[in-house]
Amino acid sequence: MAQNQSENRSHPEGLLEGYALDALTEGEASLVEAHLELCGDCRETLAQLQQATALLGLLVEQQAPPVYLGTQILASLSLARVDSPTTRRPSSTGSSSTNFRRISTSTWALPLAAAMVIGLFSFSLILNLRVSARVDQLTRENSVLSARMDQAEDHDAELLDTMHQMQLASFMSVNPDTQPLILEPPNGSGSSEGVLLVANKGNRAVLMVSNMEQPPPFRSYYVWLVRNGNRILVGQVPVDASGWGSLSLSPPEPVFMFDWVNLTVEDQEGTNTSRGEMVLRSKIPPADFPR
Amino acid sequence: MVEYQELDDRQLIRQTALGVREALEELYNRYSTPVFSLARFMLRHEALAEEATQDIFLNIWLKSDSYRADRGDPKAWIMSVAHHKVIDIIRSRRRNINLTDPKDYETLDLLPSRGRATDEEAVLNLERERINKALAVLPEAQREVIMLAYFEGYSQSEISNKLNQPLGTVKTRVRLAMQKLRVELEENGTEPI
Repeated sequence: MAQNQSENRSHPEGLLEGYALDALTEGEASLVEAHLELCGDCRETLAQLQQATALLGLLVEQQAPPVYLGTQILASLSLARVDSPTTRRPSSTGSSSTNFRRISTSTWALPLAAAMVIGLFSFSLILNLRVSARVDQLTRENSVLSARMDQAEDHDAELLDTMHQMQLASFMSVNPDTQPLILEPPNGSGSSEGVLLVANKGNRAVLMVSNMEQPPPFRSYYVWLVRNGNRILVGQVPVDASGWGSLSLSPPEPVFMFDWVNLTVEDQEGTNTSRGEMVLRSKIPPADFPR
Repeated sequence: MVEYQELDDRQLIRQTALGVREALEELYNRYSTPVFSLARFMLRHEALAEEATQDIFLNIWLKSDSYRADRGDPKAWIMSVAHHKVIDIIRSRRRNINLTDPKDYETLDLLPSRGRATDEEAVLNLERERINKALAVLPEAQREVIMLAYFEGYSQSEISNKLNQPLGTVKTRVRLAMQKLRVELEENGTEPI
């Protein structure tokens, strides 16, 4: 009873309705959100109010989005390599699922690619978030890659895959919760460099490397997460002729649970016990490290 | 093999929080039309609405682990995420967007929906009928503040300036209007939306 009275005294009187409409100032909204964490009664009231506002949203004329938008959104989620268009299974059946159907001809790939690149830049502008100088440089490199895509009709699937990763990287780079980790050569020499963008509390990450030398024959670049001297293989980074490479990571545990992220060059049969040459590395700060 | 079309919305959100792309894909198939339609109406710009829709579903992908069942049903949550995103865009681009002409509100009444199956359309029309009935009960002054806040993204302070009314009056109108809407909708049907 005493607790209820205490909660009642602190109820944000008259603010829940404005909150449900997104009509509060930032300060008022923060006040409500802090209270909602503690008050089940207000959460229930807000849920009922949001039922009403959701219905308001249905009053407008209903029009399906363009078909390509679903494909574009799905592509931007690519945390793992996208299946090749020829092997990708149909996403689902039924009329409502056609939004995501992949149209596997080269006729759409380049216009879509160009639209997606333009969309990325517009997206960044709209969000108006701080983008570091390092990301600016990587974006310029992305643009170079995008231009190359226009010339490579016979490799559109491979290039589209690369662009999906760029799109994800660009999205993550403007997400204020994303933390960049800079990878550098262990001895401080060499022009190779990389950045690991870590988001979603360390559960999602994208690695981008540049100025990389082509690996020797039958060897490849591998990414490892290291903890207490034990390393776990999390992916192989393909590097193109310009020395650029990127990889979406789905680590088995949050990245912040590890001590180091290493990039090595290994035999293509490399395993967790093999030790190749260290190319780039970065110390991983603890999860509660100020960002 | 999971058939995601057979999962309910809560299950889909849980799967989305686990990083299952097919779950988000199914949520997109179910809700892309109302989300895109709301963005298109509020932003009055097809390309911006597409970008907003993309941002909204990326937000759902990234924030689905924050969804809590006691904060409402999934459809209300998704529409809330969508509205919040569109409001952000409107407020950041306030000076560049031709906002909704209030006359457009008159066309909100049972507008036809395009490209939807008959059953879906029937459900949608029932939902619209419910909210229209509820809105009809509101005094004009209360309905006005709801429309300005929800569809044009004005804060209560901005509405106060726009209508040249004291902020307290606007807040009271918003509070009373939302409380009446809530009661009317509960009386007109308790089915979750």
